[in-house]
Amino acid sequence: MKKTIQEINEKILSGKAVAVTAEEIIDLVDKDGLEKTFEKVDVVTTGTFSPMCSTGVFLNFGHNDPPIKMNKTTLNGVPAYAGLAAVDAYLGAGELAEDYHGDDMYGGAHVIEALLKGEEIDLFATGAVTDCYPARECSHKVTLDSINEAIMFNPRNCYQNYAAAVNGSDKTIYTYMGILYPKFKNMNYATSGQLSPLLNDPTYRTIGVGTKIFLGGAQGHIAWNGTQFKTNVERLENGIPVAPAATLSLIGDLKEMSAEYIQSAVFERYGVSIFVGMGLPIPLLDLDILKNVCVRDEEIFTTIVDYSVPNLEKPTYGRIDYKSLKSGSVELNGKKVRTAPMSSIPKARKIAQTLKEWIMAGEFTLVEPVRMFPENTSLNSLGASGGGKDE
Amino acid sequence: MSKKYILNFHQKATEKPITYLLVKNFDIKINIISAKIEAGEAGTLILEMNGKRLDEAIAFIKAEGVDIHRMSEEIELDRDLCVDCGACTAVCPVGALTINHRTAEVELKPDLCVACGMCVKACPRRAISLSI
Repeated sequence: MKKTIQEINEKILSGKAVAVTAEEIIDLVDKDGLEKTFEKVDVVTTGTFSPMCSTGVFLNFGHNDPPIKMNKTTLNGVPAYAGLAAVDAYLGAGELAEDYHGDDMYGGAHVIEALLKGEEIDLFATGAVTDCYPARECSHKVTLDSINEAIMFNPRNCYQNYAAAVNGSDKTIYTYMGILYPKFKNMNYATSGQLSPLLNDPTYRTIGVGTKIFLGGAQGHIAWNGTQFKTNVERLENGIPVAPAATLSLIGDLKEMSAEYIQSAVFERYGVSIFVGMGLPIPLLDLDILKNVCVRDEEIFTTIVDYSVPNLEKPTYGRIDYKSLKSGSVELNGKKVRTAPMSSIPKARKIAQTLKEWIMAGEFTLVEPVRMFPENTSLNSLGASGGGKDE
Repeated sequence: MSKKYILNFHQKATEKPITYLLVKNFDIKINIISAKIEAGEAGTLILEMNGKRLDEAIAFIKAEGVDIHRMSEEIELDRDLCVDCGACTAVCPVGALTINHRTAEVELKPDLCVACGMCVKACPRRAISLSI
């Protein structure tokens, strides 16, 4: 039993395609079995809404008169990288305002959110004065409508699985995985489990460069494998890695996105991040792919990692499944430990649901990957500071 | 059911044994949840109180010049800002903030709150406020 993306697209365009979410497919297969479900369903939709620090936007502001070759550039006081042509800049979500005088952190994520809400942003730039770009500095009020392009380009989003974080030390620590109380008092986790995009196609059979996705409420694409893309990770029999593995680099038009699915995040004593809403459609091309999308929370395991140890290699405390994590408490070393997510399941559900509706309404067709992801990749690290090749 | 109250003491009121008087004169069952008071200085006391003469006891507290509020009035979750990520549920020591198992949404039970303030810090959306 097989289907092609082309066949599924024809069904989508004629309004006959059937899509269900990665949660709904589990019940369907339970009821009707694999083969009958395969005949009925064409696409399974996934979703995630999680803080993803490696996110940002390429902006082109339009030219100043006289023209300026921007170097130092800020948006509401948040520096953007402008080491590009004239009025191009990249604003990273995690960049902090240079001198923010409010009572809370403010950063690139807040500027991106403000742009999405249609707010006016203060743009200030100094120029490298040249014969062709004579302006020394400029300051403007800009909005998402007033600028030429705002292209979201995220080098690393949608981690395929992530550690469950604990703190084995004697003092509270403040991390990008939230606040962790001492002595293993709580455990924080980050993926949406059985709804999570890359946990439903664990060996990337349907995903690659070019794949069309839901990004921030709009249609975006997978631009490339994400940075720190790592396939050589210990995996369960179902192909699911038990530690962070693949990542995705995503691209989309911020002008088409919505503030409902891109929202700023502040992590106490850590910094600014951004919630990114992403949904991945998985075409059911054969029965193995269908089996993969039936994965349940209790079949997805991750590794418990002690974030209090300030080294790259951190102590681990075995594995835990997402059904247990989502239950609110687990047992660790014979003691009850409170568990909490960092990503929103209600939003992930809404994303999977929206993507499903787009497909059923014929508004979203699938794109065959133009290049598959690399295989057998592992990570390099810098090692200790001051180290070199000769050592 | 016992109710939680926050008592803000001004400098003068710290000289009286308020909790003792609540027990002795009004037969109030008291559970001290948190106390940050030093003699001669302003301070805060969070009490769980239960008893038939609770209304009289509260009137007495007010008459002593102590500011008293129900705890449930102090914590607020702005639903427009909340994205149901659940980061607050990680730090709530009393289960006032939990995740509904079915809907996966964050649920606030203000009556359980002890105003420790950790959720305010933990919320990435800055959706929680505590008016203490």
